[in-house]
Order: sequence, then structure tokens, then C-alpha cells
Amino acid sequence: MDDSPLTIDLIGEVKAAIADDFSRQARRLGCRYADLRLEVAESQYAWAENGNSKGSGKDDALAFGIRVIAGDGISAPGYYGQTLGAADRARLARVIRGGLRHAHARAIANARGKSAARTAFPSLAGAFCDSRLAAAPVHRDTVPAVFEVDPRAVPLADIVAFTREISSAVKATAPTIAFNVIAAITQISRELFVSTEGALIDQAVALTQGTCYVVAQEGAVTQELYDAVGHQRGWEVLSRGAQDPPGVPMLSFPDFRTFATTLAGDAVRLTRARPAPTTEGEVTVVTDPHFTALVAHEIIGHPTELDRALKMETGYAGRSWLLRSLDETQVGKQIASPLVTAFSDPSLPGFGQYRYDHEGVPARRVVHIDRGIFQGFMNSRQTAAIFGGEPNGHWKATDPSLIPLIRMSNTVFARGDHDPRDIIKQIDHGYYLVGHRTPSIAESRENFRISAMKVYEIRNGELGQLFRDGGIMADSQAYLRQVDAVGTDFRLIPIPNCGKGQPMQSKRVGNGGPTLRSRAILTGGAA
Amino acid sequence: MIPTRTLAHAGGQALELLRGQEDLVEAEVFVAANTSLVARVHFTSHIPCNGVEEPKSVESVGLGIQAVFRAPEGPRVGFGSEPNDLTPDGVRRALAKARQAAVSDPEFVSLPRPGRERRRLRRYHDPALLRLSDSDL
Repeated sequence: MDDSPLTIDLIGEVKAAIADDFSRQARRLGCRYADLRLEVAESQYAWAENGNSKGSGKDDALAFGIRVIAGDGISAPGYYGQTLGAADRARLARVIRGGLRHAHARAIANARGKSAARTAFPSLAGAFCDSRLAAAPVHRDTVPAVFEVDPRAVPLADIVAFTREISSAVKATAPTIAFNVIAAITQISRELFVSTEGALIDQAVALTQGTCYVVAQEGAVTQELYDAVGHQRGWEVLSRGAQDPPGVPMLSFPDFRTFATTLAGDAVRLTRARPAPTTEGEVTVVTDPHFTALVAHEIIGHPTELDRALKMETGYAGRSWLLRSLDETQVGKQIASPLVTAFSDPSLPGFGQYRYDHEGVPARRVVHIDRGIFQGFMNSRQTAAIFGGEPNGHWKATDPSLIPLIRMSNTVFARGDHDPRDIIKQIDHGYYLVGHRTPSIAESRENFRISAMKVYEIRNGELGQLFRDGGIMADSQAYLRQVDAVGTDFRLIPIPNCGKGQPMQSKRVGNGGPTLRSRAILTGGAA
Repeated sequence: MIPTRTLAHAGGQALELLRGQEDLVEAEVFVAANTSLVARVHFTSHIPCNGVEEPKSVESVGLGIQAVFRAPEGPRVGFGSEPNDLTPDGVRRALAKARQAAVSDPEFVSLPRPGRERRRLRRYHDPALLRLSDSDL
């Protein structure tokens, strides 16, 4: 028995043989198309509460997922996923063959059902289409992980001590810090993608993240703040912080201890602040890059996921106001101020960076809004075949056993020309929102409400009173159309927990933008 | 689908192995087999669709061990798990992970003790679900 832990080296050892065996088996079964994702991840993590260690782990994970498109007349998809362990090392090819047979049988059953439905319900079944994938170039490539401090080389005891000490430092920030949780994870993963079209892509990724949750309480007033830092790099992300790229960084945060204690200080100050007022109507609002990031996420990112727009997720995630039907979309129409440009770009640093998506398509920048005009969506090969256009590499899963969905990469508002200090100086009266908290978005993303960590009143171009528990509420299109200043201070913010899918896939993505000025209703807090 | 008697046997074997560990104060073993079979229906009259969009399944089997180890500085608590291996080898790997990950928590008292209430809910699932084929779904 091989008792050694699973390592990412396994992918390098098996990829050629697995790719060859998979393709042969898929052809023998008569699959029109099949692909396989196989991943090993090695991770270490620890967490502490109020200065006490609560848990840690050093573990490895192995899993695979298969997609098959098959059918005698009309074709349909079938999927299979399985979590594996060290014991499966010696029988990996056999297990994958079993999964392929399962996915194929599922696709055949689906195809027969679709064909029968077309016969039984002719008036409804006209919409049932052959399952097709838009053409995409086939790649064979190896992408190494990038890091300075190898996630595998950090002693687990050091990670445990690190989280415990930072949790103690957060607790010591002030006597009014009632509770805190500090968590850290560092890992390296390596995924193999093969397809019956001849793709063979071997991608390794390092990832390190720290999260801080802090509760401050003064009298009857409680403030809970939660935030995270992270990057697809090694442990240096938490021990030293990140400035990427160096010089004029888009992704920038301090070492994790400084980050967490600063957040704690904010929570303490906010307990002494008054609750924000609720305004009768729209007022001038300025959002800092951290708040702008969540606006980008909710009203740019999600409604431009083409599977949502094509109503493939109506049941549990909603649709998009940007597409009513294939003949009735906002493509080519003005939906925002001419100052607004927004895009998704997997080449930018941070959580949203990758070279190939999970169907082997090279990831590339997708412009959603160009100077106020709506341009298009993030897509997959399947949705591109329905809507048109080339696949742009945004089909991703959080685990290889799960089906990929269209996910944001780095979805952002582009930088503008305004000095962010002038954006505030130009205002007689308004509000400045710093740091995002919680979103609440309408079913088709047509309006939104997002709360802020801090709200400052602006009077005569100067920041004044600090308020707690404030936010903004607006019609999405009205908000975008009323943007009248876009700052030069572009930033990327790591978002650790974007949820989508059944079963749920909580994914790390990147969002960002600069300081923005627009109009919205200010929503307040309770006294 | 792995029968519950197999899971129970694996749990019992694991406890026997754990009882032989000299540095172990107490432990819990959790053994599970999960299969999620999902067929997501998606129909749009005016946009090409598949009807059944995602016929899929995800399977996982494994055991987990929450253990309390004796140490000079006080008890250390750790968790380790091993997927897809319910044999004594799997137990040993999970235990090794739990021992490596164990931390000293001054607030830790003990693992939960069994309550007095007896289990009343039995056979509350539809056994046909465990035999459901893709065609049936």
C-alpha cells in the first residue's frame, strides 16, 4: 500500500496515459464529444477565535468530472463527478472509465428523452436543440503555478501560530472588540483537462487567502465587519502583502496582521458613529474602489453571465435585464454614461486570473460596456453556440467533480480620468461610501441595494460626519447612466465567496474599479 | 450505493483501531456515503434549450475522525478525513492527519457526550430513491 500523501506530481505522472485512454474509451462508446477534468490539490489551513487556536489541517484532494455529449438522433449532455482519495491512485484509469460510462449512459438517456419529448409535445419541442459547442481552438499546454513561498513548504505549526497571534492582536485592538475569527489557507492545485478534440492542458495554481471577521460592541451598538485578502500566489501574500504589478499596483494590500487590525479599528470607530440617514430621494454618492468592486460584481458581472441571460438558471439564480430573447437584447444600446466602460479580464492579477477555462478555451478580455454602450456577455462554448460569437473562456467550476458554470474572472469598471480627490471636492452635498458589505439584488439584476462599511457625509467638498450601517439603493440602469465622474485610482479586490449553481459553488473571483460618482438613494440604519 | 451496514462496520473498525492509540483521550468517527443525482429542467419556448439541462451526479464516500490527543501542555484537538477508503488504511491516514493538525485550545472542554434521548426517526426516506436510474429521473 502506498501510504504517501497525494501530490500534484500525480498529474504529471498520469496525464499522457489518462488522456490517451480517455479518448479511446470515449470513441469506443460513440461519444460525439467528451471531456475530463482531473485535479489534485494540496492545502494547509488554520483558524483562531479570540486569540485561541481552534483548528488546522494539512490535506490533499483528488477529484474528477466528465462531460459527454451523445445521442443517436438528437444529442444531449450527461455529466458525472466523483471525489477520490489516495487509495484510488493505483486504480485511477479504471475509476475514470467507470465515470465515462456513467456520463455516456446519462447523455444517451437524456437524448432519448429529448427526442421523445419532441414527438409527444410538438408545439413545445421546437425549442429543443441538438447539444452543440461553438468551435474553439484546441490547445496542448502546461501552465506552472507562480509563487515565492511554496504553499507546501510552510510548516503547519507556523500557520497555526500566525492565525493565533493575529487573532490575539485583533482582540487587543480595543476592549470593545467582542469577538473575532482569523483564518488562513495556502494551497497549490494542478488540473488536467483533456478532450476528445485532442486538448491536453495541465494548469497549476497557487492560492493564499486570509479572512477576518470582527465584532465590536459598545453599549447597545454592535458592528460586524468581514473582509478578506488573497491572491493566486504563495504564503508571501499574507506575510508581506501584495503589490501586483509592482510600481503601479492594481492589486494592493498590506500584510495580513496590518489588514486585520485595521479592520478591527474600523469596527471600533463605527460603534461610536451615528446610524446613516435614509434620504427621501436620490442624492450624489461617491463610492471608493472597494465598494465599487461589489457594484461591478452585482450589476455588471452577474447580469452578463450568458447562462443567466439565456434563462438557464431562472429557478435559483435569476435572469438578466440585458436579454429578453435572442431578438431583444441591450447589445448595441446605451445603458450607461459615456464615462462608463466595464469588462471581464482573466489576464489581470488576483483571484480572477487564469490562462484556460474549464473547457480548455483560452481566457480573454470581454468588454461588457464600452463608453456606455452594451457590448456583450461572458460565455461558454454551449452558450456561444446558442447566442453567437466566439467562446471567451469563462466556464469554470470550483471543483472538478462539479459542472462548470459561467463565472466572473476579474469583472471591473475601467479607470477614468478624474483625480479621486477632485471627485469629492466638486460636491456641495453628498455621501462617500467606503468598503462594501452586503448586497441585495433584484431577480434580473435590474435594481440593487448594497450596504457599506463606512459612510461619510460630504459638505462643500470635504468629508464630514462618519455614519454606520448605511448603503445605497438604485435602479441599475439609472445608476449607470448617472455616473458623472470616474477616478484614476483603479483597484482589484479579492472576492472570496461568489455563490452560484446547484450544488452551490462558492467561487473566488476578482472585482474592482476606481472611485465612481453617481446618484442613488442613501439607505440608513436603525438607531 | 454503499449500504449503511458497511458504513457502520467501517465505523466500528475505526473505533477499534483508535482504542489502541496510547495518546488518544477520546474520538468521534463519522462515516458517510453521498450521492447527489440532479436533473435540472430548463425550457424556454423562444430560446434553444436542452429540456433537461444538467443530468448529473456527484459521489463521495469517506470517513472523518475528530480526536483529542494527550499532550504535556494539555489536550490537543484535531480533525482528519480520508475520502474513498473505508478500510483500516483509510482510518490510519485520517488519524495521521488529525494528529498532525491537532491544536491546543484552552477553551476546549470535551467532545459532545451522548444525550439521553433515544432515536425515534427511522426509515423516513423513500428506498426507491436509492435505486433511481438516469432513465427514471
